[in-house]
Amino acid sequence: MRPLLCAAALVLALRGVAIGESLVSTLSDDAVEITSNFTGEQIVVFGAIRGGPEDDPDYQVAVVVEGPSQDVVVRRKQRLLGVWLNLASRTFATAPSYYVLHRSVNFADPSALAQYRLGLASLPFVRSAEEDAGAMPFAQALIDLRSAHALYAERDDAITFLAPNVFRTTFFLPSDVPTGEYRVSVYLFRGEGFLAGATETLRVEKGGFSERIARAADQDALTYGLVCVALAVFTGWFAGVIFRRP
Amino acid sequence: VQLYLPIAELTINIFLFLGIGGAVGFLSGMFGVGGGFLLTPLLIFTGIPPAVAVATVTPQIVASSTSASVSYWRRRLIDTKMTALLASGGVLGSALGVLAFRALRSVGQLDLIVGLAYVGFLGSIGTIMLRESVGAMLRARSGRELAARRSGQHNWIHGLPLKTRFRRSKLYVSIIPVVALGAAIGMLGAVLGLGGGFLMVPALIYVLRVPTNVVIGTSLAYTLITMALATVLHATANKSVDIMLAAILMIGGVVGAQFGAQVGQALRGEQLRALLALLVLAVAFRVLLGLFLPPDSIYSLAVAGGAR
Repeated sequence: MRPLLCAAALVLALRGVAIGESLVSTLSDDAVEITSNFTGEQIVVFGAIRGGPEDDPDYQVAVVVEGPSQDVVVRRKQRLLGVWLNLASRTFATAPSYYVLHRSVNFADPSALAQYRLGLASLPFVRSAEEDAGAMPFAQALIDLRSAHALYAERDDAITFLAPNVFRTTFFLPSDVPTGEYRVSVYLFRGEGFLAGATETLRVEKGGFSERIARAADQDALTYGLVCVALAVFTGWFAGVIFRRP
Repeated sequence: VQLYLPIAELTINIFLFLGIGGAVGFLSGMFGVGGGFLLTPLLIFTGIPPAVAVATVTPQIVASSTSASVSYWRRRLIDTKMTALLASGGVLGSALGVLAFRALRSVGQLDLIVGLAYVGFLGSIGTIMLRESVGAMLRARSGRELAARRSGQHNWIHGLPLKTRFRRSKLYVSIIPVVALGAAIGMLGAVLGLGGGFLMVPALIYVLRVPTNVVIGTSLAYTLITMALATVLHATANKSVDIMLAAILMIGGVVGAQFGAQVGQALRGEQLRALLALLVLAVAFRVLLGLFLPPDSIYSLAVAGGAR
């Protein structure tokens, strides 16, 4: 059974190479440096379709930027004796810190992407929440809160075709974007059927002075704390000297 | 001008935070308090993560209490022996406070405890101060003599063992209540992100009967030591002190404090105390509203292991 499947896969793969499309993609930057004047950054993803009819208007494209995953605790406040306090919580492992999906407008049924595990509703933590009825509102709240900070989004009008086989889309990383390794995945479809994919990585890291401070605070916390105290004492003392009244 | 804060991990407007530092510094200079009780809620209100806000206010209090301590030191209005004993309790209290802060944050009840403590302490201190200062104003208006300080009176505190002499305070009391007071206020300060001056001053006057002229200097020196320690502890245990934010707040704060001090000198003591009481009560009321009003979202997120 197994050799047979492998053979079938090989035949399909060879056919794909012979007549199918392939995808080339690139990013405007392969690293985002968060420096002292960082106010967010735009990342442009370019893609070109090769090996197929060059003027096929039926190409459908989806581009996903996904940040490093985190364990996130979602807490829910409830009223107890008139006071709002956190009473219930759920912890989700592997929730992406950033997840934005851009798809071209020509998907007849956008939910078709769910079968390829694309979209917010298909994120692993959402699917795991579906098995536990009580967890679903918490997963939805996680999506809503991150969407409000522009960290999660799905857009279907953000991909621009420069030619039927060349496209471009722009993502925005807000100023409170988490650092780490991001994955930029480009998917090509026709008639909701998958044709080709390509993946790039994008590093988001603190740079310059910000990076030095963050590293000192993390790796040499005692010295960092003492420097904070010294700065405070100096500032206070200096102010006392320059504002000293006769 | 925008500035990215490396620990808070967000971008802020420098002028907004210089202004916040300056306004709080103005009030703290005017009333002779540290201003932590105002600054911490303001920072949280402007979107700084609570853990970063509480930890970053500590170096700001160090800066403001240093500049005030210097002038009290020159005028020999600090009881060093009492400061040392208060601070030795404060070391213990701050350490416990930083641990409690971390534990509360991990179980998600930090906001609640901080809110309740603010309402309780600020509400009661503000009420007492308002009653006292309004009473003083009424007495001053009716022209009656103010009651002299009842320095000869003793309370149960003065029956405790391990007595020692505090020369500058002209006191002979046990070291137990002094160390305990330092520990209690040190713990509150570390958990709540405030220096505790507004708790320490009345406690020294009414509980230990320290003469009013050395109370403020001694309280400031104590605040300086415990907040310096709390800064180091927050930096090592929680990694949530943002030195960039602290620097902006300090600069605004020390400049604002100079102007505040000038205004403060133009007002009478009981007028100042009444205004401070109203301010304290306003903050307590705002925090109280926050506990009872429905939140914007009943859900909140916390990333495991993150400073936010």
